[in-house]
Amino acid sequence: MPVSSPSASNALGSTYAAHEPLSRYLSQGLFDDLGTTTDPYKRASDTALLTILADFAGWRGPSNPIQDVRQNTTAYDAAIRRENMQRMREQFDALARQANRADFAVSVFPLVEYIRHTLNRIADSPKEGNTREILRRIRDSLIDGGWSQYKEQRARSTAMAILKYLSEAEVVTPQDVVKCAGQMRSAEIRFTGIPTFDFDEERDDFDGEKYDEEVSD
Amino acid sequence: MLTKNPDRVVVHFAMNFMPQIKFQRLLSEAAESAQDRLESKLWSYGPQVYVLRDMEKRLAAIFGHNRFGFLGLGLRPWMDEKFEYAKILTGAIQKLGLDEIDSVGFKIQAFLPLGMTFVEISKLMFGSFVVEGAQLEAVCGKPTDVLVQLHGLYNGLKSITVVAPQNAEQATQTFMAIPNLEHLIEPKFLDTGLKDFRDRIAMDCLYVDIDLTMEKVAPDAVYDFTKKSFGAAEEIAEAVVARLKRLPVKKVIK
Repeated sequence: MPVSSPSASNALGSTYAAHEPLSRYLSQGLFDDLGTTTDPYKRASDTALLTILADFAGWRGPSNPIQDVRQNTTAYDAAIRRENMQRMREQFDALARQANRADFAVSVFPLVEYIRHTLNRIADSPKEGNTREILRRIRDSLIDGGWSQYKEQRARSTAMAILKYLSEAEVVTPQDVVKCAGQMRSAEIRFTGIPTFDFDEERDDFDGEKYDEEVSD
Repeated sequence: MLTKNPDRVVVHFAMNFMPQIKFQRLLSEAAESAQDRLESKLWSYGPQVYVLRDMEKRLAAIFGHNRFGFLGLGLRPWMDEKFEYAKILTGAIQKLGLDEIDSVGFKIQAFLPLGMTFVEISKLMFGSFVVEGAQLEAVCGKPTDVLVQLHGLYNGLKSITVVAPQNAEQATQTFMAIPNLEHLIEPKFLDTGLKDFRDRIAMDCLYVDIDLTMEKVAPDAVYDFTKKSFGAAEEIAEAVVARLKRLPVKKVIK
């Protein structure tokens, strides 16, 4: 029974019916306006208030009728990442059939678009920074003429091996960024516009999690 | 997956057999022999059925004229003592003088927390257990919830697997609909065992119901079934979660 209800009292009434103290607050109509606004900022503050209210009432479950305004959970983001990587891998695999075409660049275009789409999809995920870092490096190796490298089986296999790892890993760690960078370097995959390829945490545009940072489970 | 969440699992084990005309005499003997081995002081009798209860382990053994079974709140006792329980039930069957059991079944109902919201779990069901939601819009509008029931043959066992995302309310309803739960609390007006379990599972979760059965089984084969069915249930639950989370499924089934 998912989300978006016209009245928070009704929605909460059914979702939290099992929890007596919380139901009691709601039946008094004290929070009738919660969750009814379309203003995203107000909805976000409603969510925060509901979370505090639920905590106060000792409710253990995360169910929340207006949870669609919340950020995705890290477990969900990881599942989405694995799904997208699997599809990306299939696209890389399909490149083999196009490798001898004069207009090979055209074949690469949907792949680059899909990487961009995936980057957008996981852009807000706090625990997918390392994935984004790896994906940007693959994307940068494909653009501005870099696509020609992927005519070679070796480059494609390397990218597919990296994507296979990303499609199966529970968590992508900073060590994985280093490992993937090493694999790409060994396969002599170059990056357009980036002269060096060092894993540097201090870089201004570094997006991966730091070594000592906690990662998602 | 089940063994990692033992306190969110309800366990059922049952043996069905042909009732006999002399059941009234034999049933009491069978229940008595089981009571000795279970060391169960609490028992009750209804029409054609004895119930032995162990409140510490939240377990009830039910002996009817055509069916013997176990119901357990939490997986732990079954994990630790399943073979002993199977032996007790088989011993009771032998007291009835039966040399064949019509069917034996093991079923678990698990409310697995995945660290995801109900909406997220629902979205992930599409593209893993059913086709992408967009392809079903002509059938039901934009899909918001799903329940999948699959029948199969898993390593020689008939299987029925039900998978569904659930929110707190749905999990509570599913749990409260399980029959015979009242046998698992004592004293009835004060024991909070069921409420505690409900509070634990009343959250966004993945509901997995796995039912494994085998037909025409000799009493001696119940031990093997117990072992096989427990392993199979764990593997299936693991595979269900892996599939939903787009993780590689390790086991390939014959």
